[in-house]
Amino acid sequence: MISPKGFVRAPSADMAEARWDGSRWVIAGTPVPDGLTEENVAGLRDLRGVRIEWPHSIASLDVIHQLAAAGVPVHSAAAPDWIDPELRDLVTDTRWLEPEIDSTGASLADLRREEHSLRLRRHGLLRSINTSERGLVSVIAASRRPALTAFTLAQLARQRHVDMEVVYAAHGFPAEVVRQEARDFPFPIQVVELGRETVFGDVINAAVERASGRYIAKWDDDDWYSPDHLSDLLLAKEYSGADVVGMPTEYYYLEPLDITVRRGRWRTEIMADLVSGATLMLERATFQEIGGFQPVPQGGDTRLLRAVEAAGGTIYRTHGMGLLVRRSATAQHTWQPPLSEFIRGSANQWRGFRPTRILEGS
Amino acid sequence: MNRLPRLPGAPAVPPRVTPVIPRIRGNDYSVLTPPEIGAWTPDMRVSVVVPACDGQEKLDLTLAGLADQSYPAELVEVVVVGDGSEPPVRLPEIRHVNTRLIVCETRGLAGARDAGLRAARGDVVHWLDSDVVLDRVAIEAHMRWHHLAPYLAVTGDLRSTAASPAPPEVAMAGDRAKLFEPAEPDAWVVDLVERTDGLRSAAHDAFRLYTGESTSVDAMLLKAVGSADGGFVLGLDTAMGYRLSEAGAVFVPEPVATAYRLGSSTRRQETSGGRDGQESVPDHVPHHRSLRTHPNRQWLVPYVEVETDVTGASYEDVRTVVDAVLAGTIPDVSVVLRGPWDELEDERGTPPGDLALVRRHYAAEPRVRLGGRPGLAPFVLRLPSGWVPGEDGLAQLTDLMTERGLGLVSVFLAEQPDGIVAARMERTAAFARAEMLAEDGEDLDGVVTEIYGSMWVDPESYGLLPAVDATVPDDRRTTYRQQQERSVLQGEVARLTKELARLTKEAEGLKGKVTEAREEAKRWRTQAVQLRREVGALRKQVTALKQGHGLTRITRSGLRRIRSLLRDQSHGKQAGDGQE
Repeated sequence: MISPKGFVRAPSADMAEARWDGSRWVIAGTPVPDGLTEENVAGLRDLRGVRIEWPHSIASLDVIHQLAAAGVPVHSAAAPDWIDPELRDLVTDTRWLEPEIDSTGASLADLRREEHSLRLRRHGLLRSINTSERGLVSVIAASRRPALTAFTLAQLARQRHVDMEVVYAAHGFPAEVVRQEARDFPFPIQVVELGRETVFGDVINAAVERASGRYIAKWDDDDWYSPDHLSDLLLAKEYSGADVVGMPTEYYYLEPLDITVRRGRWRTEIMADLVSGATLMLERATFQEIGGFQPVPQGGDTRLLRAVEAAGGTIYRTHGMGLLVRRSATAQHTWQPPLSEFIRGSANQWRGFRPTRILEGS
Repeated sequence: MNRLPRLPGAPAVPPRVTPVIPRIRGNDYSVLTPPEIGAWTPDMRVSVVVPACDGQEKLDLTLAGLADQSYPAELVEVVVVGDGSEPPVRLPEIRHVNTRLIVCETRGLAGARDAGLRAARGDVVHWLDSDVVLDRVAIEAHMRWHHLAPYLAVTGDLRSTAASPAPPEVAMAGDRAKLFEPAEPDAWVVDLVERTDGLRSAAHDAFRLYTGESTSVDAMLLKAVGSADGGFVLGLDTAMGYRLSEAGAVFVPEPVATAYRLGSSTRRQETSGGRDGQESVPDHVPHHRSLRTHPNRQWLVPYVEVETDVTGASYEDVRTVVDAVLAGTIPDVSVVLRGPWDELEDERGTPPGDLALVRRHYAAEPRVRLGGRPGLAPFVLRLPSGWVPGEDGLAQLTDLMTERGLGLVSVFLAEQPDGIVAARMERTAAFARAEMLAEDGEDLDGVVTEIYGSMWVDPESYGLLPAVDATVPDDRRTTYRQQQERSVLQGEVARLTKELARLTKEAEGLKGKVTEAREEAKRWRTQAVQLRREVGALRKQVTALKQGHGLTRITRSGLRRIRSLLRDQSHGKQAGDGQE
């Protein structure tokens, strides 16, 4: 299956060319009369992108759609009117080619390229999927902080291309707070109230018990999520075939310093052993098979991953551009990693709150 | 494209201001697009200041070159500054209509330029030496830039020529190139400009282009820095260029503004290796680190100034901080201690407070100032009270800033309930330019980020510590002796390492010999066995012969051979035994 698997985030080769020779597409010098193979795609991974030379008359678009589904960044200065408008907008989008730097002067070329690739992947992959038949996702949102309820629900409310319900665990505060905030919430929502003394693992298990979806997805109460977060996880689940899918944590908003940082150069679109707990998605059946969350106050996410592996399951890490983790002032929490840990070795820094364009929904 | 709905829960972002003045990042003036020559309407006034130092004959040509400029005459004034020498300078017939002569009492270029600057009334001051003749469109070419931004220093294309036409020829020539070419530009300027994409990518080098021979500068900017010390620095191009850059100036080479220098370049030697003029440059230009390699001498302008507030601090903590800064790897550093120094009174009879002790302790240290503001240094570190930079900390921070061209580096130190404690290393030039550019109420750090870039770093990587955890720096001699000791020990280590290598090699050689000897012994043993057999056979033969027939056939030589074989056998055996 052609998919974004193996996407290279920092390519070393320049742009190549795709052209129609009258009867077939030739990509970077290789004719692909019967469409792209996974091997073909692997050969294109190190390219910054592929520039499309469109023929004057109608040609088959299958290969172009395959390139998109693979996340190969394609571009052309202009596109003919016989291709669908959405694809045309995508391939002629020049935002990822404009030079841009962060606050420290570091280039953002690779980030903008990856964002462009992601938009293409979604287009290429979603065409063949009926979004109403993807299976219900039950979002498990556990929170100890009633003050964040409105924030959390606002992130959830803008999820798109997905069939979802929410199970909100009010951990140590009245369920009524959530019900009040959820009056206009656009998706089905249930609220579970649990005492402050309940350990986190049991809170999650109690919430999952109320869930009816085919999938469950964990959700953090104070992080920002892209509107395609669940849809992207579902796509990754479909093309990776892994038992658990998730994302790396790369972007942080350091509230006390009012800066956004990007940390860690994770390899993504790859089978892995670590994903962020705030992004876990797995089938409810799998969750039950491994006995659910362990009744521990902390580290439950990692234990879940190990349990999946112990049962012979696999974990897949997709892109992390749609997640922004909040590091608030220490006074509001018991303990948090010191700010210097987020600053040290950060690959990018921006003054102020600077979400990726993916997070903004574009 | 449709406007996206705001990301829910995003912190409020201050509205983006539309800047009135264009913002140039570093020295990359590409954001400015000057109009074509002859295709625009100027309205800014320029004062061309000509210090008359090079003789009447050349001055006549310089002034003739100003007579017929394409720039509107009513927007130009020419100020010729005579230095009072005999015979006095006079204005020739052929000159710009708005030319006046003033006389300055102090001799020398610096004084003349200072007097000219005081007399100048234009929005822009154009320095022109009295041996330089401008092209007809040169003033216009300079001025088209100044209409775009008020913080530019524009330098014309200076070319040395051997030609000496008459003043009327100069004034009347439509194309002055015909009179003055062939002419040669300065090789080092050509190199600098080519190497840096016309100075666009010249991070800290751009100011070197500045020359009083033919450079125009925004008058406000120039007056702010030029007269700071009685105009002395006006005579020293590199120092003046440096000051302008610290004040936020952007340096633009204007290739259309040709300026013909009569004769060869001599004054530019200060940057090209000559001695005269060079001797003062390191004092004024801390950026040229290669000119300040001495381990501990002091210079006029420090490289880094460290400012810290000592209000309420203990005497001991202040000493730890100040002494650590002074003992760091940047010797040309100075410290400004902010505190209520004015309120401090010498109370006789009462024990002195912490601040009084600090004042007495540093009274004789010229690198420590009590009160005042950081001045001319290219980098200023603002250090919160009680934090100590590591020995190489300042150097690491300035390295980071020069490598990345940053205007501000903030060092996160601590998170406290009432906020963040941080040190700030600021680039003077960046903040000076940001002051000019910031709109009302706009945050300077934001402007600095836009025009230079800014970054947060962690304290561990730069060795910043709370005063209680810091160690007192060793005195110079202890360090020296430790170094000596270290080098002696290093020598010893090197010697022993060599010795070890030699012995290892020798041992290897011996091992080879042992193997060889063993092989040999083995060979001998084999041979001995063979010989024994042979001797046995011969003995049998001898016995047989003795017993009867053919005794006469045993010759003497036959017996000798047998004896020698027997000897060999016994030797071989011995050798084999000995080696085993």
